[in-house]
Amino acid sequence: MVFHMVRQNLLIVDDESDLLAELSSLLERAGFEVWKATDGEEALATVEARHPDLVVLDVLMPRMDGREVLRQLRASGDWTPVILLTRVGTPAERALSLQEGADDYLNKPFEPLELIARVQAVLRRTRRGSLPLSSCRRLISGDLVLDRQTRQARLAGKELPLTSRAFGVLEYLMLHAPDVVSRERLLDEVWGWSYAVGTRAVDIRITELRKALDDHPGTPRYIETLVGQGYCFVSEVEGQA
Amino acid sequence: MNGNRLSLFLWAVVPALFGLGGSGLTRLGMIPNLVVMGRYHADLAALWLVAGLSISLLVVSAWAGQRWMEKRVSSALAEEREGQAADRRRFLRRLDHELKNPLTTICLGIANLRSSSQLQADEVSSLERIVHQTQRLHGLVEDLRRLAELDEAHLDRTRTSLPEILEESVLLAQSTPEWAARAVNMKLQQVPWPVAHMWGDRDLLVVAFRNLVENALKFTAASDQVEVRAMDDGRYAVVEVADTGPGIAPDEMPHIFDELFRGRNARELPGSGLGLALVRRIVSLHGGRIDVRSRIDQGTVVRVSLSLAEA
Repeated sequence: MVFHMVRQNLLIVDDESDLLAELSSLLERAGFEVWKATDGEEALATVEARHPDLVVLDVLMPRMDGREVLRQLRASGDWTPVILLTRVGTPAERALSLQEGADDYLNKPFEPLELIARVQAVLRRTRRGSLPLSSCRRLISGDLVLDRQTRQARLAGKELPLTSRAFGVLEYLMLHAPDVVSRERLLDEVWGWSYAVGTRAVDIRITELRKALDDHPGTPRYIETLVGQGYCFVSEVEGQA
Repeated sequence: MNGNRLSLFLWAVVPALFGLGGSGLTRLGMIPNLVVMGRYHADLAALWLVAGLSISLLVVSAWAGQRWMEKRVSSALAEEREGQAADRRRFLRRLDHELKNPLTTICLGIANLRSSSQLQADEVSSLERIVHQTQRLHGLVEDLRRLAELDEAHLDRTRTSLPEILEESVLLAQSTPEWAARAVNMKLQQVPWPVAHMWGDRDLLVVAFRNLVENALKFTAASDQVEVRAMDDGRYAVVEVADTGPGIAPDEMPHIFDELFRGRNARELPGSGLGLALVRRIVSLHGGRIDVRSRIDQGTVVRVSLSLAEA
């Protein structure tokens, strides 16, 4: 981690001690300073006392679960970035995690390197003290407005007829802009079927989106293809609560 | 069935007609009308009619009663089956849930061990075996999650082309290195028109047909044949995935769509026993049908029927 002049502090919260031990060892190797908490109350106290740069939070914990910790943090105006570790993998559940104010989520079991990449990406994206895009109801980029609650997209006021997966892809790309997102990751996150559908499924939705947005791959206003890497949302994204 | 229908019809109609005929003939005076029974006089025309109609009515009501009973019994059975399926799914979801934390810990532990450089050569190969087995568990958990997701899935239906879906499914099945060289014979209806479009969830259908093609490849040798056929009959698209593999034993047939069921032939092969359960779920979400025919040592045909989009 040559790029980090100051080691960044992570708080990891999980009630399983074995998992916590392996997780902290992994993140320490990746160059982070790691603090641990084994339940929700301890997590809230640590955030208040020590102000970590990011919290990795397990959802299912006895007494106060991860969602409750997140709600209390956000209710008190604390916007420390949070990555939720969930065990319930349905797309609805995942969408809910983001709307409740998480910056990102990972499904257990996850690839360890993926967690490190997500932590780094969230730290890079975070504008300290401000509402993360992932908790905003509307995502706005120029003429394009995505209402994440009603699952509707509008371009210059006109509603776009998108399939729900195309909407999911657009939402994911906008939330992670300007990061490049691989097809596999989109399949994992939007479809939840990483292996079975094949990456062409993603390309088909991107074509659908480009047609709806009148966006051209040669001169992209919104979605750019990076050969061999994936897609990225190139325009500036703002959030609205 | 038709023979039954015909005899039921005769039993219901003939007595009534016979009564009517008898009554008519009596009225016309071709049969003497008055029957004297002791002190009473009976109207024979009426007797004919009443007797004929009663027999018919009896037959029809007996038949309706039987039908009603059958329906009650079959709906009770269906309810019970549905209940069992729901129980099984609840159990699988719990299993999925309980596996995730240990599996996450193991994956993290492996990653930590891998990045430590002090491992001996034999320890490295032990670790690789652990990785391999963990990946199998990972696959099982993924399949369980997919199955659970399908329970609450809504379909992303678009107008889709079945031949395209089939070609994609075969291509994906062949993307697995061990099957890259295996030929899959495609016979898609072209003359006088190609298979019509259907209204379905393209991605889920790819998952389903990919699974069927992979099954066919998995259970056959390189010398066997695998064929994918598609045709439409104007209302339904019918897809068949056929192979010249070992076939499915008759006693295993009723269970092949059950979650986690693995046939005797499948014991040494990779897989979680969730593939066909997934396929059936996807087909039924589309309102389609799936049937399997199989002969030992000759092969297996899986047939999926899906309704076509209105033109």
